[in-house]
Amino acid sequence: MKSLTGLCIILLLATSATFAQSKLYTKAGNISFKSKTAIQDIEALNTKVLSVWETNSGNIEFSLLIKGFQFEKALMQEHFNENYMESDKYPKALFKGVVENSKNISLTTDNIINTKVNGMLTMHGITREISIPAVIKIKNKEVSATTSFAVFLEDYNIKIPAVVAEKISKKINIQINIPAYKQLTTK
Amino acid sequence: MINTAIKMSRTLKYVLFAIGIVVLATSFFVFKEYNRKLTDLTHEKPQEKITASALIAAFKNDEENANKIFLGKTLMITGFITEINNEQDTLLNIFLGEKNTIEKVSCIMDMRRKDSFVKLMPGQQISIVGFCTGYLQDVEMNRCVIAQSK
Repeated sequence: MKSLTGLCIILLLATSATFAQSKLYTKAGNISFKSKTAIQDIEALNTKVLSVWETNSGNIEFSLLIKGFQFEKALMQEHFNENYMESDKYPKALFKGVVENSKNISLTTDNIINTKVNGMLTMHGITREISIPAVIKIKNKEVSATTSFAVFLEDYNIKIPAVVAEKISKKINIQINIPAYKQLTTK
Repeated sequence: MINTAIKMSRTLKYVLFAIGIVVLATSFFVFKEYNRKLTDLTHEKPQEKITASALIAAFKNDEENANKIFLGKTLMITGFITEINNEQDTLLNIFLGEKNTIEKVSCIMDMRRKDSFVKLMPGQQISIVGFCTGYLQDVEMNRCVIAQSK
């Protein structure tokens, strides 16, 4: 009888541990982008990326605030918000997707996994399907992730005036870095 | 004839000098404007003053309306420090709010003023001036500095 109770407790603990592992989140992801032309390089960094990843289903989300991007020069930041991204009208960017083979990823074994995330990216009021490569790193049960990909401004209806067209690349390189996911415990 | 030529050359000199001054002044203004850094908010007058709890409630209840009021504005927030995250002295994130609520006001501090953040402790009541960037899970603020008591 005692051994049966013990077995039940172990099973219960194991089940709750699996559920606890199934949802990871962070509020401290980083996103940076770069526009490179012969005339001018533009870079910006946002240190507040919210991400939730349900490892069992593979569903993953990223959201961030457009006004959270910081530029080296104030004028660039003002033009970015007011003229190009219209951040008063569209304050957030959102990605909702699925991590390929997510349920097969062991979060307890040290590993570096190259995978793909497929989903929908919404910014500047436009939603488009996108597929991005991702590297997930597991070390000492700590999960981190990085991805870099490019978007084209015209795909998101971001218009650049002719007078500065030579200074801003039509293709923007984006890098997202999640230094450490935490386990989300829901009651 | 010679006098007229001298007069004309003098006038031309003045015109060229004036154009030179205008070109120099314009170049200086363009250069300065192009390289302008983001303002240190220490001496900036806040557009709104509000408590951390009231700001969180405003965004939680009606995000669209709160965006209209607070987004992109310089705010003075008063509240209790619930958490301080310091990442290798490059990124300091102070959270204001109530201990028992999930949502906080997240303040990314302006590291140009890092010397004034040294004595901050969790539990302390403080007023912070910062730039409101919107609402994710927390109300997000950046370029934050400690409000000057007047």
